[in-house]
Amino acid sequence: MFEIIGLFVFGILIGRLLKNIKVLCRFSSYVNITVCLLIMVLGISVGANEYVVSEFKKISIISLILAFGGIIGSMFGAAFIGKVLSKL
Amino acid sequence: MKGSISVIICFVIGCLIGRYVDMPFDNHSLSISLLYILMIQVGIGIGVNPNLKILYKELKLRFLLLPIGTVGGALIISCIIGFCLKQLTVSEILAINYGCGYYSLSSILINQIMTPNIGAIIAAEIATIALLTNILRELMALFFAPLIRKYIGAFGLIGAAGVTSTDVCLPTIEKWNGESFVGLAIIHGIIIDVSTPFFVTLFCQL
Repeated sequence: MFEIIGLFVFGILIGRLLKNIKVLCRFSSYVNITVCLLIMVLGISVGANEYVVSEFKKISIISLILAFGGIIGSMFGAAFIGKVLSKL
Repeated sequence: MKGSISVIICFVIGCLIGRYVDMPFDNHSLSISLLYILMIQVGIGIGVNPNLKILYKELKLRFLLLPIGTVGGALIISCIIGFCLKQLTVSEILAINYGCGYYSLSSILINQIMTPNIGAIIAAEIATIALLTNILRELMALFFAPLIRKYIGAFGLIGAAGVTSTDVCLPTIEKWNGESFVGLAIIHGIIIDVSTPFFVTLFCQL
């Protein structure tokens, strides 16, 4: 998985060094299109996957639990750290 | 908001294609190529961001630690859920929730990295959970913003927004927290954004 992180760091460096080149800014602003294509490809493998389709109700419930837990944790975590930092 | 709706639509279209059309090409290599393009795009987007330096000057340095609370809180709850929930392991839940609303990247990374280890079927299932979890989280943050601001406070709202405090939830944060929190919200989101690829990769391989 080093290639994924490597490309990410490479992108940051390229962006930092060549930020005046307009083509580059435009290329990175098309990120939404890439995301939509990738999500569609993910959807294709989900739709073709009998197991995931049959378990979709279970998957939705788990997602709801995780989303709720995550947001509660982040909320109180950030509120706590923010309070501590404000007092420093 | 518009972004998350278009993602849901793309996901549903993809599901329908996958269900009813036999794909003539290799799905996995296509998504790997797209992922490489995405990683470069996300990197360049962070690199060319002209706000970075100004924000850095305006901000009190110690507030750079705020994302630790956001991510730490999410990970602590994830561990607790992990021990109660039998369907997923703790490290899988950590990978899902580390993104704090970063649905695009975390679901795709999870799918790619886990496929060789646990097989395409389970990896697609976990990636779908990651996608839904993070989209739901973003929608909850937008929807409950006034309540969170009122009862938990300004930092709580930034934490609830997670990575989306830098883009999707920024107007909402500005509205309820005031302009003085905008710089902090942007930096907070960017820090989680930058760290996501590293930690999701790490948790996927645990």
